Amino acid sequence: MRLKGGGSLLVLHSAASGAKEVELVASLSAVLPDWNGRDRVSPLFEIDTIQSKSPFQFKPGVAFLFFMGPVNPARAESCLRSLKGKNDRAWLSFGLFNLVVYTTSRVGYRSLLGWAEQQGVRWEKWDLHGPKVTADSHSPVTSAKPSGLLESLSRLRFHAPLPELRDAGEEYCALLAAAGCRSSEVDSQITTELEQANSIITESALNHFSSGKNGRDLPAIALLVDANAALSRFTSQMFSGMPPIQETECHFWTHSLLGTGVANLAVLKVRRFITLTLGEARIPDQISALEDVTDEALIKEVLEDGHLWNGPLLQRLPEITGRKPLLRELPPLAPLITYLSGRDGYHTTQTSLSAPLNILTSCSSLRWSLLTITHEMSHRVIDEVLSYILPDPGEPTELSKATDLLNEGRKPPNVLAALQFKILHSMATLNAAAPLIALPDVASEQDLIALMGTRREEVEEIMVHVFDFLYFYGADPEVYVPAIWRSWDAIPSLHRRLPGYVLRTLCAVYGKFWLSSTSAQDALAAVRAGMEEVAKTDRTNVYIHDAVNFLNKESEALRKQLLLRRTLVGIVRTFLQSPAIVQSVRGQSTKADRSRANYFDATPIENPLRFIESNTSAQSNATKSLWMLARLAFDTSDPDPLRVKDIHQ
Amino acid sequence: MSDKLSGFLIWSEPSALRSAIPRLKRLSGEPEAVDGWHKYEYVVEEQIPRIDMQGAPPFTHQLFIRWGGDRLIVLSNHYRICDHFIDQDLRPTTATFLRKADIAVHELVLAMIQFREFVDNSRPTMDDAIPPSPLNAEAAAEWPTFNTSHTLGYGSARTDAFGGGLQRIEFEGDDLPSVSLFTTAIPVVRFRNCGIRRKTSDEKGFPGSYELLRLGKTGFLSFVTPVSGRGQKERFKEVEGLLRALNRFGFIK
Repeated sequence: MRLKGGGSLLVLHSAASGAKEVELVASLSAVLPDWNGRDRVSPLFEIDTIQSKSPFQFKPGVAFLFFMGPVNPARAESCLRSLKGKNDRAWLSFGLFNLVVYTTSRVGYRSLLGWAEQQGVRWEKWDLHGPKVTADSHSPVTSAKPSGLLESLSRLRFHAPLPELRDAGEEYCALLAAAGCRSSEVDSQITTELEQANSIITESALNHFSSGKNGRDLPAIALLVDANAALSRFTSQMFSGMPPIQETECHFWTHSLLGTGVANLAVLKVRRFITLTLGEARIPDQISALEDVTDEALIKEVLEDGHLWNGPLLQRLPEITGRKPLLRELPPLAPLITYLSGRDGYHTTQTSLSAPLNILTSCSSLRWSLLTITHEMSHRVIDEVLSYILPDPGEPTELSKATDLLNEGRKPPNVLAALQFKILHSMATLNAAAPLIALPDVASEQDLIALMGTRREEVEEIMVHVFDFLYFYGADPEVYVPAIWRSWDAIPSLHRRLPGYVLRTLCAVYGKFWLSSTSAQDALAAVRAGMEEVAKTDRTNVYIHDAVNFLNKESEALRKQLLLRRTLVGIVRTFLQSPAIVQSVRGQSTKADRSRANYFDATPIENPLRFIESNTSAQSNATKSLWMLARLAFDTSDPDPLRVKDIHQ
Repeated sequence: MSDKLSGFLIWSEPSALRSAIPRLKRLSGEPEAVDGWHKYEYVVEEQIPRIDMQGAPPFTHQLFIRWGGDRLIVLSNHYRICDHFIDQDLRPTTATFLRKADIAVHELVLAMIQFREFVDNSRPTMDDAIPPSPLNAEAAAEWPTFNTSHTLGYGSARTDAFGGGLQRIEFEGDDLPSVSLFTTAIPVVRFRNCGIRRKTSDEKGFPGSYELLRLGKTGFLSFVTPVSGRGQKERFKEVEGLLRALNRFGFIK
């Protein structure tokens, strides 16, 4: 099955009298002059059939418009044989009812119904007379309910002095109940993930709330408000456009009729792949186990940049810690709630992952590539790693020990403390080169809080870039540099921050040349080559020319800046990298996915990240973007959760 | 004396292939059906890329085709001939989807290794331990028998673990699961092709084996047939039996 190319908009006009009429238009501007507040719209992409050579119009007289799904478009091939009349057509939509079929014959309509029932595909049918909707009906609604989830939500109580917490809690319960009920009609795996998310979110919120410390209910409110924002959008986008379609409106207005369920499902599948591979590797937990490594020789190697820094260390961890299972009891990972957002763009929080709305029309272009999700997921890992390594500013004992360490008043008692010293020392070095605070030779605990407060964000960002480069881009600057510079073109007002972005790129690529005797020069050359490639081929890129000029003009200053951050690169490369985990995240048995764009044949996608990498280019194409999202949504199978011998067993 | 055949396992819609193949004009000769296998002459004017042919066109290649339900096997002396036939002749004639089977080679290798490890680690006290299953757990009862009569003899894998420093590894031997170098490489590779050996014993009872079939992730099949008609017929049957078993075990998608 193949998409014809080019999209149109299906408009449902609703008059004040209740009369309804459908229209298919090339663009929104054609219908806006006569728009009213009840009208709804969604884009459709025509499937290539014998009929699609002639232009489409709603035939006068009786006809039927079917909405079916969720269905893998490759499976829909056989239903297209029902299309006999010259006006019959089929389209794909972004909604969970992703197959839309128009037929003018009763035989065709019965055949479509038969196909849907045989395949177990849900449907809604609109009877038409010309463009007028005269009746509608749909397949039976399942009575399945997530009883366990509903029961658990009904027991949830926030007896709080702050009304904000009670309000956020009630909103959370109502939202999750709606999401759980709707998902149980579509995909039980989504319901299971919502149940998991619920137990982790509520446990975390209740822990904050019941800790008895002043101000601890504020983080609980923030957590619930964040979860509510994600759940609200997830539910509206994913489950609108389901029966009764005319009553379930999506709040993304160019998709108000059918929703964006296919895109939401695609993002969810990508997130699930990363969770089951990188997430299940439990890198932060592994790093926390370095606290048990007290071998003085190893600590000395860490502190003095010894041979240990020459290769990835993470896979040697079981050996270093005496081959005992590192992670005995693994609590389930929190499944981040995924949604699309024009405002948040690519972003992660403790409970959610968002992708920009632009992926609907442009995810086939590097500018809006879905691979940016990997950067956000890397933030989750590095943030947690740093929370193990760095002292908690709210914990006086941790702070006091860390201050002693920074002042070199005591030796690190274990490898984790040695890493803490290396990072704090890097922060102090960066501050000495470009002071943001006055840091005395003997720092106090307040100085340490100020140092971390001003430098943690930069440290995390650099480590995230290195991590993303090594794990998700195969340490290949030719892929990485053009990809990130094309995606950064979508960030508004980047100009004044360009030097920082050039430096981050250099830090990431430096990870590849770590062992080279000319590592800084090699990194500069590789970054320059990648950026010049973008400048040459992407003439509309707003920032790249200035960035290349900056790199060429300030290369010596950048080299010095890079070397100041060398330790941060080394920590990721040495302590957070493991070939077995890289393989689980990036591995695939074939060199490149040679999927033919716009074709659906149900070939399973072995690695969704490599599929995205292979099919994303400098050009943006709406039809190809729908094709990519539908392939990701329906052809990505979940990998087995990563289990590394001597870590998990 | 033997012949090597290679080609692809393809999926389509049920009955779509049965009607498509007789319409193909470049397939000539009376199809000779032996146990469901049809031997055709595939006559082409063009030189098939990377296939050396002597003399002037037209060029004649032999194709062995077997279809049933939604499945098609196309074999020839070189897989490129099959590729050419599928893309240039079969696909344009078939109105429906046509795709090479996705063979879960990596999962198959892993499952065979896990089964061997289970057997090797079995102790009298572990008699009630449940052996590992294939992908399709419903066929778990047949899995021990399969592993008793087959082993792995070939594995070709890609690795993405070392940032391009190492990209491909190939293993070949009589019994790879017994080799620790092979099994310890598993976390850093993904298998693309594998070879299944059928275990035998000679007339004196000494154990031996021969390679029955090589499989590739993208539906690739390759095997050697004896020259004698009877031997050839037997080998085709064995290969079909193996493919049917792998399908039941859930390794063919």
